[in-house]
Amino acid sequence: MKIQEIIIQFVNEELLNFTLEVAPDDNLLVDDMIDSIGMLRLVMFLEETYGLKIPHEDLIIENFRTVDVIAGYLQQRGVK
Amino acid sequence: MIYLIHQAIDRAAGKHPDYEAVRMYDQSLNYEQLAQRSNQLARTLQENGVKRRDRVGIYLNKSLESAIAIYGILKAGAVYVPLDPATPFSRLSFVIQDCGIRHIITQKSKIQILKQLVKNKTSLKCVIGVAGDSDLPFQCISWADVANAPSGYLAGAKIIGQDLAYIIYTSGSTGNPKGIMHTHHSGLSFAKWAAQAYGLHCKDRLSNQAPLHFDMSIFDFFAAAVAGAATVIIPDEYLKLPASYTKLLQDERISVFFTVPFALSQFLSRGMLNKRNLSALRWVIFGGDTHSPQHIRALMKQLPETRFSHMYGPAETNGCTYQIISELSENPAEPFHIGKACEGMEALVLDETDQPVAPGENGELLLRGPTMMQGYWNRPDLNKRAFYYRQAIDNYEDKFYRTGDLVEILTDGNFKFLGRKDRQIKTRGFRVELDEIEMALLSHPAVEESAVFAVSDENGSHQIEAAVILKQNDTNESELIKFLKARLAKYAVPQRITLMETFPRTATGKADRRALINASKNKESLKSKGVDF
Repeated sequence: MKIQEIIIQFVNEELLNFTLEVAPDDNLLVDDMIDSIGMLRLVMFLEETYGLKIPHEDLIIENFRTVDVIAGYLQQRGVK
Repeated sequence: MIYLIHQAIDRAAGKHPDYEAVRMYDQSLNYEQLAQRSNQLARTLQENGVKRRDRVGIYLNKSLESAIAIYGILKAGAVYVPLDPATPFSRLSFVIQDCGIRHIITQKSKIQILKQLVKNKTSLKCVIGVAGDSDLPFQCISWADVANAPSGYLAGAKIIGQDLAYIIYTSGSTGNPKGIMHTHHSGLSFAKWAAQAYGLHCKDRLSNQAPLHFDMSIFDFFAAAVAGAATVIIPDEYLKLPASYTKLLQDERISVFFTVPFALSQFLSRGMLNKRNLSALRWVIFGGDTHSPQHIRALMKQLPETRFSHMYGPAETNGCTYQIISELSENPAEPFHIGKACEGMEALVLDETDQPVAPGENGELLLRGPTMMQGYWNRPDLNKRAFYYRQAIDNYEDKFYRTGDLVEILTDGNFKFLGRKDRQIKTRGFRVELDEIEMALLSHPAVEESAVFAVSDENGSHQIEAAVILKQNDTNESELIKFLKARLAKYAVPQRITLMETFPRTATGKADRRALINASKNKESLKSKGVDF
């Protein structure tokens, strides 16, 4: 599965309980999407799934706004 | 002398029209622009039938328009009712009906949900903020139309300080939210007190983290307006990523930061404070929830030039007790107490028979003073219970609000917060009635019995969990979560639902919530040791 698909599956199932269908370019950080606890869970999921540590300085809007943006960040970190 | 909330922005516009009043991202309005645009909105509302005491909804995401909406509604003599922009439809519809909203100020992205209102019988007649071709069966007025109205000074509707200014809806234990009514006098009294207590001035820059339907926004907007200072609206996306949030505080040179303890805990763990220059930050004021004393102390050490204050007060009274934290106690786990009553407020602590308690003893905290609410909208039953009348002289009685919070009076006169009398909790600063969640679960046809409880977390706040017994096994946890998301405010939806065959019971046969809380805590600690469920 592509990185985007893996993230979308996690967000839809685990964070949004299928109440919304996330598209790769949807803003995940607006009020009715993921809350701050959901964001922590997403970071833990990415760290476990891809076996990397995401440092605090990388936990910024520029790296996490959308699924596409997150995938871009992970690719920069060497995830294929 | 000003007696009405909106007079504060007109006064600031007269003194320093070019000072920034409100900012979000790279857009801002100075005081002259805010005064003019709110005049235009007020005229538009009046031309479309809004009269003194009418309730007008603000159904907007965080935006500059939300500030224009507040002051435009007040200048029209009406009462603003903030509607949670992320609220489920059923709750939105309830609030609109409950206080008879006929006019609403909104944005294009809300058109779909507004269309659904038509299927219900709705009081709504006029929508401002969307163009006329939006296919809504209400009168529609765009912002461009509003901008055509004259922007000059508006003498205003003939209202007085005792007229209602806003109604904030909050979680209600019977399953429906309840509206807390504040007058110009109560809102402005709080803003004036806050501006004085924290020495606010026109060069200050206040953050606005809270959405409008959360009472902390009263401080952010109205205390700033009284001081002629700027309010910087924090976009929602910053709230989820602390390193971005602290950078915004730095870049926007925020000088007064009013927040919930959860955000401060997040700053400490992931806020990259060692990389930030927060030299403009004069005040960190926290409230709205219980806190982790260790986190606050660690933050105070990281920000030695910043003063810290703990402010307490339910939405019914605005901030009503506070303390300025001057020194760190010897015991790092000792929580900060909630201080003494604000200047101009009177506090009482009563036992279960309504007798005053002595220092060192526990009781319920009651308050009276100029910042107190008028009552709950259309709820005589709640108003009867919410107030306590103390015989003063002859036929005169003093009216106190019963907070439902238990406190101890310390020997130095400060109050120490002990907990709630009822089942209300705070989660990340949001106030939730656990009974409301149980009622919502019981309205699901497959649910036989539900027990909702709060488990304290490492930030000093709470996580909500639910245990459920089903009638038949034709639903599951995620279906129930989905069901609740359609009915409750987002922050009230439990983090976890556990399906059970039976509950642990107390001697009287009720669900033993304490046992459920302990079971949940054990589960978490086993999980952290690698045992999975």
